[in-house]
Amino acid sequence: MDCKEFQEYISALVDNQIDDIKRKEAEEHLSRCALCFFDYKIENLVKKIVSFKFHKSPCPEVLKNQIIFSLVSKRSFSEQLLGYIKLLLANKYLKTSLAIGVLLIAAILLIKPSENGNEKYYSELATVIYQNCKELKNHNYPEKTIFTTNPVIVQNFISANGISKPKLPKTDWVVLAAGIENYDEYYAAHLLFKCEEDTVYMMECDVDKLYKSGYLQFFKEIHNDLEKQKFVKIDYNDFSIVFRLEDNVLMAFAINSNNQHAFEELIASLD
Amino acid sequence: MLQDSERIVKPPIENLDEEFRKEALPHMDALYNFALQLTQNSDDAADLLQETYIKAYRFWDKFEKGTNCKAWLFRIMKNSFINFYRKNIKSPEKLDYDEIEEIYETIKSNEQNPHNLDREIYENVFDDEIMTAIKSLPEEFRTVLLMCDVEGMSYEEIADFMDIPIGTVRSRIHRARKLLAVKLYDYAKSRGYNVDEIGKE
Repeated sequence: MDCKEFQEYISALVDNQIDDIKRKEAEEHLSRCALCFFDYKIENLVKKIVSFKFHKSPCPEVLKNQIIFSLVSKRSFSEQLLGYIKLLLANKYLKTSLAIGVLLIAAILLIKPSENGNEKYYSELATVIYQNCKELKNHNYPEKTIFTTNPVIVQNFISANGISKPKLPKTDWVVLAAGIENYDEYYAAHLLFKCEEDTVYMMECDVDKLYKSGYLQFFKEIHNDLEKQKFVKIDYNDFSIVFRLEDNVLMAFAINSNNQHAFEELIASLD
Repeated sequence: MLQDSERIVKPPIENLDEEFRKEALPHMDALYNFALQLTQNSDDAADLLQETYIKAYRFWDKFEKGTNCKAWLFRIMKNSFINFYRKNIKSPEKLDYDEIEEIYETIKSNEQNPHNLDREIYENVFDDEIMTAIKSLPEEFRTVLLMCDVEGMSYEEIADFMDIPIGTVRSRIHRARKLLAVKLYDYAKSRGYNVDEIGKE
Protein backbone atom coordinates (compact mmCIF):
# COMPACT_ATOMS: atom_id res chain seq x y z
CA MET A 1 0.00 0.00 0.00
CA ASP A 2 1.38 3.40 -0.93
CA CYS A 3 0.70 6.75 0.75
CA LYS A 4 -2.13 7.61 -1.61
CA GLU A 5 -4.01 4.41 -0.91
CA PHE A 6 -3.27 4.63 2.79
CA GLN A 7 -4.83 8.08 2.91
CA GLU A 8 -7.94 6.57 1.38
CA TYR A 9 -8.24 4.00 4.14
CA ILE A 10 -6.94 6.01 7.07
CA SER A 11 -10.38 6.77 8.52
CA ALA A 12 -11.48 3.17 8.10
CA LEU A 13 -8.39 2.04 10.00
CA VAL A 14 -9.04 4.48 12.83
CA ASP A 15 -12.68 3.44 13.04
CA ASN A 16 -11.95 -0.24 12.67
CA GLN A 17 -14.13 -0.40 9.57
CA ILE A 18 -11.63 -2.19 7.40
CA ASP A 19 -11.27 -5.79 6.30
CA ASP A 20 -8.35 -7.91 7.50
CA ILE A 21 -6.39 -7.87 4.26
CA LYS A 22 -6.50 -4.08 3.92
CA ARG A 23 -5.73 -3.70 7.59
CA LYS A 24 -2.52 -5.72 7.25
CA GLU A 25 -1.45 -3.65 4.26
CA ALA A 26 -2.28 -0.42 6.04
CA GLU A 27 -0.44 -1.38 9.22
CA GLU A 28 2.54 -2.44 7.20
CA HIS A 29 2.60 0.96 5.50
CA LEU A 30 2.19 2.70 8.83
CA SER A 31 5.29 1.02 10.24
CA ARG A 32 7.54 2.49 7.58
CA CYS A 33 6.02 5.91 6.75
CA ALA A 34 6.46 8.63 9.38
CA LEU A 35 4.30 11.14 7.51
CA CYS A 36 1.33 8.83 7.30
CA PHE A 37 1.89 7.81 10.90
CA PHE A 38 1.49 11.47 11.82
CA ASP A 39 -1.81 11.67 9.93
CA TYR A 40 -2.97 8.49 11.56
CA LYS A 41 -2.23 9.80 15.06
CA ILE A 42 -3.98 13.09 14.33
CA GLU A 43 -7.02 11.34 12.99
CA ASN A 44 -7.11 9.16 16.09
CA LEU A 45 -6.79 12.21 18.28
CA VAL A 46 -9.66 14.02 16.59
CA LYS A 47 -11.86 10.95 16.85
CA LYS A 48 -11.03 10.67 20.54
CA ILE A 49 -11.88 14.33 21.10
CA VAL A 50 -15.16 14.18 19.23
CA SER A 51 -16.39 11.01 20.87
CA PHE A 52 -15.32 11.93 24.39
CA LYS A 53 -16.00 15.62 24.45
CA PHE A 54 -19.10 15.83 22.36
CA HIS A 55 -21.93 16.15 24.81
CA LYS A 56 -24.94 14.04 24.17
CA SER A 57 -28.14 15.57 25.36
CA PRO A 58 -30.73 13.02 26.39
CA CYS A 59 -34.19 13.65 25.04
CA PRO A 60 -36.18 15.49 27.75
CA GLU A 61 -38.80 13.27 29.43
CA VAL A 62 -41.51 15.85 28.82
CA LEU A 63 -40.83 15.72 25.10
CA LYS A 64 -40.82 11.93 25.09
CA ASN A 65 -44.20 11.82 26.80
CA GLN A 66 -45.59 14.48 24.54
CA ILE A 67 -44.58 12.47 21.50
CA ILE A 68 -46.06 9.27 22.88
CA PHE A 69 -49.31 11.09 23.58
CA SER A 70 -49.36 12.44 20.07
CA LEU A 71 -48.79 8.95 18.67
CA VAL A 72 -51.57 7.51 20.76
CA SER A 73 -53.96 10.20 19.64
CA LYS A 74 -53.39 9.01 16.07
CA ARG A 75 -54.94 5.69 17.01
CA SER A 76 -58.56 4.93 16.44
CA PHE A 77 -60.95 6.24 19.00
CA SER A 78 -61.82 2.88 20.50
CA GLU A 79 -58.17 2.01 20.99
CA GLN A 80 -57.57 5.34 22.65
CA LEU A 81 -60.50 4.85 24.90
CA LEU A 82 -59.19 1.66 26.42
CA GLY A 83 -55.96 3.42 27.24
CA TYR A 84 -57.68 6.28 28.95
CA ILE A 85 -59.91 3.98 30.89
CA LYS A 86 -56.85 2.21 32.21
CA LEU A 87 -55.65 5.59 33.32
CA LEU A 88 -58.93 6.39 34.97
CA LEU A 89 -58.88 3.12 36.81
CA ALA A 90 -55.53 3.95 38.31
CA ASN A 91 -57.24 6.66 40.28
CA LYS A 92 -57.97 5.89 43.88
CA TYR A 93 -61.54 7.14 43.74
CA LEU A 94 -62.38 4.44 41.29
CA LYS A 95 -61.30 1.60 43.48
CA THR A 96 -64.51 1.56 45.45
CA SER A 97 -67.30 -0.63 44.25
CA LEU A 98 -69.82 2.09 43.77
CA ALA A 99 -67.41 4.83 43.14
CA ILE A 100 -69.86 7.45 42.28
CA GLY A 101 -66.99 8.84 40.67
CA VAL A 102 -66.83 12.31 41.52
CA LEU A 103 -63.52 11.89 39.91
CA LEU A 104 -63.31 15.47 39.80
CA ILE A 105 -62.71 17.73 42.59
CA ALA A 106 -63.94 19.88 39.86
CA ALA A 107 -63.41 23.02 38.11
CA ILE A 108 -65.17 25.25 35.73
CA LEU A 109 -63.12 27.44 33.60
CA LEU A 110 -64.87 30.26 31.92
CA ILE A 111 -62.35 30.86 29.22
CA LYS A 112 -63.84 31.53 25.85
CA PRO A 113 -62.60 29.26 23.10
CA SER A 114 -59.78 30.83 21.21
CA GLU A 115 -60.35 31.96 17.68
CA ASN A 116 -57.39 29.90 16.62
CA GLY A 117 -59.18 26.73 17.61
CA ASN A 118 -59.03 24.48 20.57
CA GLU A 119 -55.39 23.69 20.47
CA LYS A 120 -54.22 27.16 21.28
CA TYR A 121 -56.88 27.52 23.90
CA TYR A 122 -55.85 24.24 25.34
CA SER A 123 -52.21 25.17 25.65
CA GLU A 124 -53.06 28.50 27.25
CA LEU A 125 -55.22 26.72 29.73
CA ALA A 126 -52.43 24.30 30.50
CA THR A 127 -50.05 27.14 31.12
CA VAL A 128 -52.42 28.91 33.47
CA ILE A 129 -53.12 25.80 35.47
CA TYR A 130 -49.53 24.74 35.58
CA GLN A 131 -48.27 28.09 36.75
CA ASN A 132 -50.89 28.32 39.42
CA CYS A 133 -50.19 24.83 40.63
CA LYS A 134 -46.55 25.64 40.97
CA GLU A 135 -47.50 28.68 42.97
CA LEU A 136 -49.76 26.60 45.17
CA LYS A 137 -46.92 24.34 46.13
CA ASN A 138 -45.61 27.08 48.36
CA HIS A 139 -48.87 27.49 50.22
CA ASN A 140 -49.31 24.17 51.99
CA TYR A 141 -52.94 23.79 51.21
CA PRO A 142 -54.73 20.77 52.64
CA GLU A 143 -54.85 17.67 50.51
CA LYS A 144 -58.32 18.32 49.22
CA THR A 145 -58.61 21.79 47.96
CA ILE A 146 -60.89 23.55 45.59
CA PHE A 147 -60.52 26.99 44.21
CA THR A 148 -63.59 28.73 43.00
CA THR A 149 -65.59 31.89 43.12
CA ASN A 150 -68.82 30.00 42.65
CA PRO A 151 -70.47 29.51 46.06
CA VAL A 152 -72.61 26.60 44.86
CA ILE A 153 -69.59 24.65 43.76
CA VAL A 154 -67.80 25.43 46.98
CA GLN A 155 -70.76 24.24 49.02
CA ASN A 156 -71.11 21.03 47.06
CA PHE A 157 -67.45 20.31 47.31
CA ILE A 158 -67.34 20.95 51.01
CA SER A 159 -70.28 18.71 51.83
CA ALA A 160 -69.13 15.98 49.45
CA ASN A 161 -65.72 15.83 51.03
CA GLY A 162 -66.62 16.58 54.62
CA ILE A 163 -64.27 19.50 54.83
CA SER A 164 -64.71 21.56 57.97
CA LYS A 165 -62.49 24.52 57.35
CA PRO A 166 -62.34 25.45 53.69
CA LYS A 167 -59.61 27.81 52.71
CA LEU A 168 -60.05 30.20 49.88
CA PRO A 169 -57.10 31.32 47.84
CA LYS A 170 -56.23 34.82 46.86
CA THR A 171 -55.18 34.57 43.29
CA ASP A 172 -56.31 36.34 40.22
CA TRP A 173 -57.03 33.24 38.24
CA VAL A 174 -58.75 33.41 34.98
CA VAL A 175 -60.19 30.13 36.05
CA LEU A 176 -63.15 30.14 38.32
CA ALA A 177 -62.38 26.81 39.81
CA ALA A 178 -59.88 24.02 39.71
CA GLY A 179 -59.40 20.96 41.79
CA ILE A 180 -55.90 20.15 42.80
CA GLU A 181 -54.67 17.15 44.64
CA ASN A 182 -51.47 17.42 46.51
CA TYR A 183 -49.39 14.32 46.12
CA ASP A 184 -45.96 14.06 47.60
CA GLU A 185 -44.06 14.88 44.50
CA TYR A 186 -46.49 16.51 42.16
CA TYR A 187 -49.88 18.10 41.83
CA ALA A 188 -52.64 16.47 39.90
CA ALA A 189 -55.43 18.57 38.56
CA HIS A 190 -58.95 17.32 38.21
CA LEU A 191 -60.55 19.75 35.95
CA LEU A 192 -63.71 20.67 34.25
CA PHE A 193 -63.08 23.08 31.52
CA LYS A 194 -65.25 24.84 29.15
CA CYS A 195 -64.40 24.68 25.53
CA GLU A 196 -67.65 25.40 23.79
CA GLU A 197 -70.39 27.88 24.45
CA ASP A 198 -72.15 25.95 27.17
CA THR A 199 -70.32 22.67 27.34
CA VAL A 200 -67.92 21.67 30.02
CA TYR A 201 -65.49 18.84 29.73
CA MET A 202 -63.91 17.01 32.54
CA MET A 203 -60.34 16.00 32.56
CA GLU A 204 -58.03 14.47 35.04
CA CYS A 205 -54.36 14.70 34.62
CA ASP A 206 -50.94 15.30 35.93
CA VAL A 207 -50.51 18.98 35.33
CA ASP A 208 -47.06 18.49 33.89
CA LYS A 209 -48.46 16.34 31.19
CA LEU A 210 -51.57 18.34 30.52
CA TYR A 211 -50.13 20.09 27.53
CA LYS A 212 -50.94 18.43 24.23
CA SER A 213 -52.05 15.26 25.91
CA GLY A 214 -54.95 14.50 23.60
CA TYR A 215 -57.66 14.39 26.26
CA LEU A 216 -59.62 17.09 24.59
CA GLN A 217 -60.51 15.00 21.58
CA PHE A 218 -61.44 12.11 23.84
CA PHE A 219 -64.04 14.04 25.77
CA LYS A 220 -65.37 15.72 22.69
CA GLU A 221 -66.08 12.33 21.14
CA ILE A 222 -67.95 11.22 24.20
CA HIS A 223 -69.85 14.44 24.31
CA ASN A 224 -70.95 13.98 20.72
CA ASP A 225 -72.35 10.58 21.63
CA LEU A 226 -74.13 12.01 24.64
CA GLU A 227 -76.07 14.33 22.43
CA LYS A 228 -77.77 11.28 21.00
CA GLN A 229 -78.12 9.18 24.11
CA LYS A 230 -78.47 9.60 27.87
CA PHE A 231 -75.28 7.85 28.83
CA VAL A 232 -72.24 6.15 27.39
CA LYS A 233 -71.18 2.94 29.04
CA ILE A 234 -67.82 1.40 28.40
CA ASP A 235 -66.93 -1.96 29.87
CA TYR A 236 -63.42 -2.65 30.84
CA ASN A 237 -62.38 -5.72 32.82
CA ASP A 238 -64.19 -5.58 36.15
CA PHE A 239 -65.29 -2.05 35.69
CA SER A 240 -67.80 -0.14 33.69
CA ILE A 241 -67.31 3.51 33.09
CA VAL A 242 -70.45 5.51 32.63
CA PHE A 243 -70.33 8.95 31.19
CA ARG A 244 -73.26 11.32 31.36
CA LEU A 245 -74.07 14.98 31.24
CA GLU A 246 -75.21 16.89 34.26
CA ASP A 247 -76.18 20.45 33.47
CA ASN A 248 -73.86 20.28 30.52
CA VAL A 249 -71.04 19.06 32.68
CA LEU A 250 -69.56 15.80 31.52
CA MET A 251 -69.29 13.41 34.44
CA ALA A 252 -67.62 10.05 34.64
CA PHE A 253 -68.60 7.27 37.02
CA ALA A 254 -66.90 3.98 37.63
CA ILE A 255 -68.96 1.02 38.68
CA ASN A 256 -68.01 -2.50 39.52
CA SER A 257 -69.38 -4.58 36.66
CA ASN A 258 -70.83 -7.16 39.05
CA ASN A 259 -72.87 -4.54 40.80
CA GLN A 260 -75.86 -4.39 38.47
CA HIS A 261 -77.88 -2.68 41.14
CA ALA A 262 -75.52 0.26 41.33
CA PHE A 263 -75.66 0.66 37.62
CA GLU A 264 -79.45 0.66 37.55
CA GLU A 265 -79.51 3.18 40.36
CA LEU A 266 -77.16 5.44 38.52
CA ILE A 267 -79.15 5.28 35.31
CA ALA A 268 -82.40 5.81 37.15
CA SER A 269 -81.02 8.98 38.70
CA LEU A 270 -80.70 10.44 35.24
CA ASP A 271 -84.44 10.88 34.89
CA MET B 1 -53.46 4.12 49.61
CA LEU B 2 -52.10 3.54 46.17
CA GLN B 3 -48.46 3.56 45.35
CA ASP B 4 -47.18 6.80 43.94
CA SER B 5 -46.44 5.15 40.65
CA GLU B 6 -50.10 4.36 40.23
CA ARG B 7 -51.14 7.88 40.84
CA ILE B 8 -49.01 9.51 38.24
CA VAL B 9 -50.76 9.70 34.94
CA LYS B 10 -48.29 8.37 32.46
CA PRO B 11 -48.66 8.43 28.72
CA PRO B 12 -50.75 5.40 27.71
CA ILE B 13 -47.73 3.76 26.17
CA GLU B 14 -49.41 0.35 26.15
CA ASN B 15 -51.68 1.66 23.41
CA LEU B 16 -48.82 1.78 20.98
CA ASP B 17 -48.04 -1.10 18.71
CA GLU B 18 -45.87 -3.48 20.69
CA GLU B 19 -43.19 -3.85 18.01
CA PHE B 20 -43.01 -0.11 17.58
CA ARG B 21 -42.60 0.30 21.30
CA LYS B 22 -39.74 -2.17 21.41
CA GLU B 23 -38.01 -1.25 18.16
CA ALA B 24 -38.53 2.46 17.64
CA LEU B 25 -39.02 4.15 21.02
CA PRO B 26 -35.61 3.24 22.48
CA HIS B 27 -33.90 5.31 19.78
CA MET B 28 -35.48 8.56 20.90
CA ASP B 29 -32.36 9.80 22.66
CA ALA B 30 -30.11 9.13 19.69
CA LEU B 31 -32.60 10.72 17.32
CA TYR B 32 -33.01 13.73 19.55
CA ASN B 33 -29.26 14.24 19.38
CA PHE B 34 -29.30 13.88 15.67
CA ALA B 35 -32.16 16.39 15.46
CA LEU B 36 -30.14 18.81 17.58
CA GLN B 37 -27.19 18.41 15.25
CA LEU B 38 -29.31 18.99 12.19
CA THR B 39 -31.34 21.92 13.45
CA GLN B 40 -28.86 23.41 15.90
CA ASN B 41 -31.57 24.41 18.35
CA SER B 42 -33.78 22.56 20.79
CA ASP B 43 -37.15 23.92 19.63
CA ASP B 44 -36.69 22.82 16.05
CA ALA B 45 -35.15 19.59 17.26
CA ALA B 46 -38.26 18.83 19.32
CA ASP B 47 -40.52 19.49 16.34
CA LEU B 48 -38.36 17.42 14.05
CA LEU B 49 -38.28 14.53 16.51
CA GLN B 50 -42.04 14.58 16.91
CA GLU B 51 -42.59 14.72 13.18
CA THR B 52 -40.19 11.84 12.66
CA TYR B 53 -41.99 9.62 15.14
CA ILE B 54 -45.41 10.48 13.83
CA LYS B 55 -44.28 9.59 10.32
CA ALA B 56 -42.57 6.43 11.51
CA TYR B 57 -45.70 5.35 13.33
CA ARG B 58 -47.92 6.08 10.37
CA PHE B 59 -45.68 4.08 8.06
CA TRP B 60 -44.74 1.41 10.56
CA ASP B 61 -46.15 -1.34 8.33
CA LYS B 62 -43.66 -0.21 5.65
CA PHE B 63 -40.73 -0.93 7.94
CA GLU B 64 -39.11 -4.23 7.00
CA LYS B 65 -38.98 -6.25 10.17
CA GLY B 66 -35.54 -7.47 11.05
CA THR B 67 -33.73 -4.61 9.30
CA ASN B 68 -32.05 -1.79 11.13
CA CYS B 69 -34.77 0.30 12.71
CA LYS B 70 -32.40 2.98 13.90
CA ALA B 71 -31.12 3.60 10.39
CA TRP B 72 -34.69 3.66 9.13
CA LEU B 73 -35.66 6.30 11.70
CA PHE B 74 -32.56 8.33 10.92
CA ARG B 75 -33.51 8.29 7.27
CA ILE B 76 -37.03 9.51 8.01
CA MET B 77 -35.58 12.27 10.11
CA LYS B 78 -33.10 13.31 7.47
CA ASN B 79 -35.80 13.45 4.80
CA SER B 80 -38.14 15.42 7.05
CA PHE B 81 -35.34 17.79 7.79
CA ILE B 82 -34.53 18.31 4.14
CA ASN B 83 -38.17 18.86 3.24
CA PHE B 84 -39.20 21.24 5.96
CA TYR B 85 -36.33 22.63 7.90
CA ARG B 86 -33.26 23.01 5.83
CA LYS B 87 -34.46 26.00 3.87
CA ASN B 88 -34.93 27.95 7.09
CA ILE B 89 -31.52 27.22 8.46
CA LYS B 90 -28.45 29.14 7.56
CA SER B 91 -25.88 26.77 6.20
CA PRO B 92 -22.27 27.23 7.25
CA GLU B 93 -20.03 29.12 4.91
CA LYS B 94 -18.53 27.15 2.10
CA LEU B 95 -15.11 25.89 2.97
CA ASP B 96 -12.20 25.80 0.61
CA TYR B 97 -10.95 22.31 1.32
CA ASP B 98 -7.69 22.78 -0.58
CA GLU B 99 -6.85 25.71 1.62
CA ILE B 100 -7.45 23.64 4.72
CA GLU B 101 -5.27 20.92 3.28
CA GLU B 102 -2.47 23.45 2.89
CA ILE B 103 -2.79 24.65 6.46
CA TYR B 104 -2.81 21.06 7.62
CA GLU B 105 0.42 20.37 5.73
CA THR B 106 2.02 23.42 7.34
CA ILE B 107 1.08 22.14 10.78
CA LYS B 108 2.40 18.76 9.85
CA SER B 109 5.77 20.13 8.76
CA ASN B 110 6.07 22.07 12.03
CA GLU B 111 5.06 19.14 14.18
CA GLN B 112 7.06 16.04 13.73
CA ASN B 113 5.81 14.49 16.95
CA PRO B 114 2.04 13.96 17.02
CA HIS B 115 2.10 13.07 20.73
CA ASN B 116 2.76 16.69 21.67
CA LEU B 117 -0.17 17.81 19.60
CA ASP B 118 -2.26 15.17 21.23
CA ARG B 119 -1.55 16.46 24.70
CA GLU B 120 -1.76 20.14 23.88
CA ILE B 121 -4.96 19.99 21.92
CA TYR B 122 -6.69 17.63 24.24
CA GLU B 123 -5.90 19.67 27.31
CA ASN B 124 -6.21 23.14 25.89
CA VAL B 125 -9.31 23.14 23.80
CA PHE B 126 -12.53 23.90 25.57
CA ASP B 127 -15.66 21.88 25.07
CA ASP B 128 -17.60 24.74 23.55
CA GLU B 129 -14.78 25.32 21.09
CA ILE B 130 -15.10 21.72 20.02
CA MET B 131 -18.82 22.25 19.53
CA THR B 132 -18.18 25.40 17.52
CA ALA B 133 -15.63 23.61 15.38
CA ILE B 134 -18.04 20.74 14.72
CA LYS B 135 -20.87 23.11 13.89
CA SER B 136 -18.71 24.95 11.41
CA LEU B 137 -18.15 21.82 9.34
CA PRO B 138 -20.02 21.61 6.07
CA GLU B 139 -23.22 19.71 6.69
CA GLU B 140 -22.37 16.63 4.64
CA PHE B 141 -19.14 16.21 6.62
CA ARG B 142 -20.64 16.96 9.98
CA THR B 143 -23.51 14.52 9.63
CA VAL B 144 -21.26 11.64 8.62
CA LEU B 145 -18.68 12.36 11.30
CA LEU B 146 -21.22 12.57 14.11
CA MET B 147 -22.99 9.43 13.02
CA CYS B 148 -19.67 7.66 13.21
CA ASP B 149 -18.08 9.15 16.34
CA VAL B 150 -21.12 10.07 18.42
CA GLU B 151 -23.81 7.63 17.34
CA GLY B 152 -21.35 4.81 16.77
CA MET B 153 -22.84 3.74 13.45
CA SER B 154 -20.81 1.54 11.13
CA TYR B 155 -19.62 2.82 7.75
CA GLU B 156 -22.07 0.49 6.12
CA GLU B 157 -25.00 1.91 8.08
CA ILE B 158 -23.90 5.45 7.28
CA ALA B 159 -23.53 4.64 3.58
CA ASP B 160 -26.96 3.09 3.60
CA PHE B 161 -28.46 6.01 5.43
CA MET B 162 -26.82 8.75 3.38
CA ASP B 163 -27.23 6.83 0.18
CA ILE B 164 -23.57 7.24 -0.75
CA PRO B 165 -20.83 4.67 -1.50
CA ILE B 166 -18.69 3.45 1.38
CA GLY B 167 -15.62 5.04 -0.21
CA THR B 168 -17.34 8.41 0.10
CA VAL B 169 -18.07 7.74 3.76
CA ARG B 170 -14.37 7.04 4.31
CA SER B 171 -13.22 10.18 2.55
CA ARG B 172 -15.81 12.42 4.19
CA ILE B 173 -14.87 11.23 7.65
CA HIS B 174 -11.19 11.64 6.85
CA ARG B 175 -11.70 15.16 5.53
CA ALA B 176 -13.96 16.14 8.39
CA ARG B 177 -11.28 15.11 10.86
CA LYS B 178 -8.61 17.03 9.01
CA LEU B 179 -10.78 20.13 9.08
CA LEU B 180 -11.37 19.68 12.77
CA ALA B 181 -7.69 19.10 13.44
CA VAL B 182 -6.84 22.42 11.82
CA LYS B 183 -9.51 24.28 13.75
CA LEU B 184 -8.64 22.69 17.08
CA TYR B 185 -4.98 23.40 16.46
CA ASP B 186 -5.85 27.06 16.01
CA TYR B 187 -7.78 27.10 19.27
CA ALA B 188 -4.98 25.35 21.14
CA LYS B 189 -2.50 27.84 19.74
CA SER B 190 -4.62 30.78 20.83
CA ARG B 191 -4.51 29.32 24.34
CA GLY B 192 -0.81 30.16 24.43
CA TYR B 193 0.42 26.95 22.96
CA ASN B 194 3.64 27.74 21.17
CA VAL B 195 4.09 25.76 18.00
CA ASP B 196 7.77 26.56 17.56
CA GLU B 197 8.79 25.50 21.03
CA ILE B 198 7.04 22.21 20.86
CA GLY B 199 8.68 21.63 17.52
CA LYS B 200 12.11 21.95 19.15
CA GLU B 201 11.50 19.44 21.84
